[in-house]
Amino acid sequence: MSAAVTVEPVAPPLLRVANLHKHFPVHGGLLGWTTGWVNAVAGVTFRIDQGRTLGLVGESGCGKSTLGRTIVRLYEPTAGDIILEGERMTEMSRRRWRKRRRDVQMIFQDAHASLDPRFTIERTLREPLDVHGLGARAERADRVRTLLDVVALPADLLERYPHELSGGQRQRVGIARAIALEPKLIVADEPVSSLDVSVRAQVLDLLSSLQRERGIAFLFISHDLAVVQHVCHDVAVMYLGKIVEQAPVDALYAAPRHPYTQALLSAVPTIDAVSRPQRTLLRGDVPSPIAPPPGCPFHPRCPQAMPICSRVFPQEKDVGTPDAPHRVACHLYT
Amino acid sequence: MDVPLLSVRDLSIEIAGTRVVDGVSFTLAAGETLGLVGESGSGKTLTSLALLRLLPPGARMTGGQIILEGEDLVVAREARMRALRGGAMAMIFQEPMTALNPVRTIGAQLEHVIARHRHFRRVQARSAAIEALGRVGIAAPKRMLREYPHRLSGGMRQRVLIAMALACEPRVLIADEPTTALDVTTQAQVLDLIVRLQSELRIGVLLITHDLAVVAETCVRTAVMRAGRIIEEAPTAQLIASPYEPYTQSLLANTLRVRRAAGEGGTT
Repeated sequence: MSAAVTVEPVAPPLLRVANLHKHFPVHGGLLGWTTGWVNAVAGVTFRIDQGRTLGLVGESGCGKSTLGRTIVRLYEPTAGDIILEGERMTEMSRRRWRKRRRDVQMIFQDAHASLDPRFTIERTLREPLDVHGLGARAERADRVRTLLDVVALPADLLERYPHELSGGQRQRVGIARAIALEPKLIVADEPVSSLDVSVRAQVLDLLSSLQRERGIAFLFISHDLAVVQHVCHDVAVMYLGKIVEQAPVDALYAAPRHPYTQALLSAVPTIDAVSRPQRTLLRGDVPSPIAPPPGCPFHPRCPQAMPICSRVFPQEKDVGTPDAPHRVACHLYT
Repeated sequence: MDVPLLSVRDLSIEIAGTRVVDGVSFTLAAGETLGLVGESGSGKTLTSLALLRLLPPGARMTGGQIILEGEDLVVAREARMRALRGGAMAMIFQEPMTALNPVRTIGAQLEHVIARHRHFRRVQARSAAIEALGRVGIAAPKRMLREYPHRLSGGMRQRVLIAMALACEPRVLIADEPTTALDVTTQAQVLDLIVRLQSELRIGVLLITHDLAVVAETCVRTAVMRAGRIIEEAPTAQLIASPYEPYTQSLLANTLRVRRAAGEGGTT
């Protein structure tokens, strides 16, 4: 995933997300009526090309997991478009969607919770093949074996149950399940956050080799900025349901433009503590998405806030070059 | 250096006959932060629990000495240990929600701990609680006293726990993965707070973490644990610049760093 080859997109992008919204009702009071809405995803636009990895970073509660789950349609979007290879997923018939579903798969953070504890590994990996009728029935056992081989797990794990596996092995099973249907896009939600550093490195290597060999695109959701820098081609930074900055990975880390991205990067602890530039410590916490502040959602914590920031939401602006777009939504650049 | 504040010698712990902590020794001086680094299962949390004699059922201390300011805690009476826990030896945990009582207000919990350890009357305990909350950077400490834990963010809860730990003027603070559940921005705030209070109050801090970067930011000395043993201990800068043990080297090699600018060093 690290080789930065610039692909000239001729066909429509693999995935295009346009002005996507996902709102959840908030219930309250004696009768449980809807008393408000959480705008978990509040108008998000981005694209992912084939074989590329887009990193999605932000603090907990910024809506990054909701966005990922909406793209695989675990949640129905409230508004906006999700377009897969030119086809509007939001308008697909159920039947058509069932066909296309195999193209978009997901890897979860907690492999333990996302594997059925009563299924053997064999059954877990075989189920998607059966559901989608992939290959002749007799071949499927072979396919399951091959899958285990691809994620470097021994074949004798097939008859085991999830609780008998280590955390790293379970995450590999989660990956094997995600690639079983040969998807074009995988949404990976914090795939390595619960793993020890040595296991983490192995799993990240596995994901890159899958991308190299199969051309799978990834939406890589993570709060870990070091991991994102190592595996992603492009990065989008989310704050309170909105993408505030989006750029190729090198541009974003070398010269972050949005004050939030700058603060986020300077907060990362580093083993080269001496070489670290002056820290910008953010004050306070992320505001509630039920009552987001007016104007730019970041202005109450922003060290560079101006009067306009509390009134008007900044439009996204491209401050990059034609071949390396760098979009930022901040009044400092408008 | 004079007599260390806390010294642990040859600490061993067994679970069902298996030795999970094997001859661990280290010392901690007043005003010093010692990092204890290891992957899951290395025995770092058991070691910290043993210091407070809070080992879970099934785990048994089979040998060693834990000496706090000249007093051997291994042979101390249980009543004495109760006075020490949260008093001279305070602890903060990874998940602040489980360390707080969900049905009592922050004020009730803080005042209870303070009254118990410092033998204060209610009014005194209350003002000590307000002072403690102010010290950890909580803007409206009086209002905080009336809040319940579930109404607070993770960073706020961890601050409350630090306030509670420090309210009884401990000599030693044991912090077990204090920032692992927090976002980077909050993590930076909480680590800054621990470092600042540690130097202001001259307490000894034992910081337990899986993250070498956290240690690099906060600890003067670091010990690396693996399979129940301390395999390497050195000044943090030296440990990171020239690790001796192959395991420490691989731990460092696998720790991803954020590269600030294109071309700047980093490991892959």
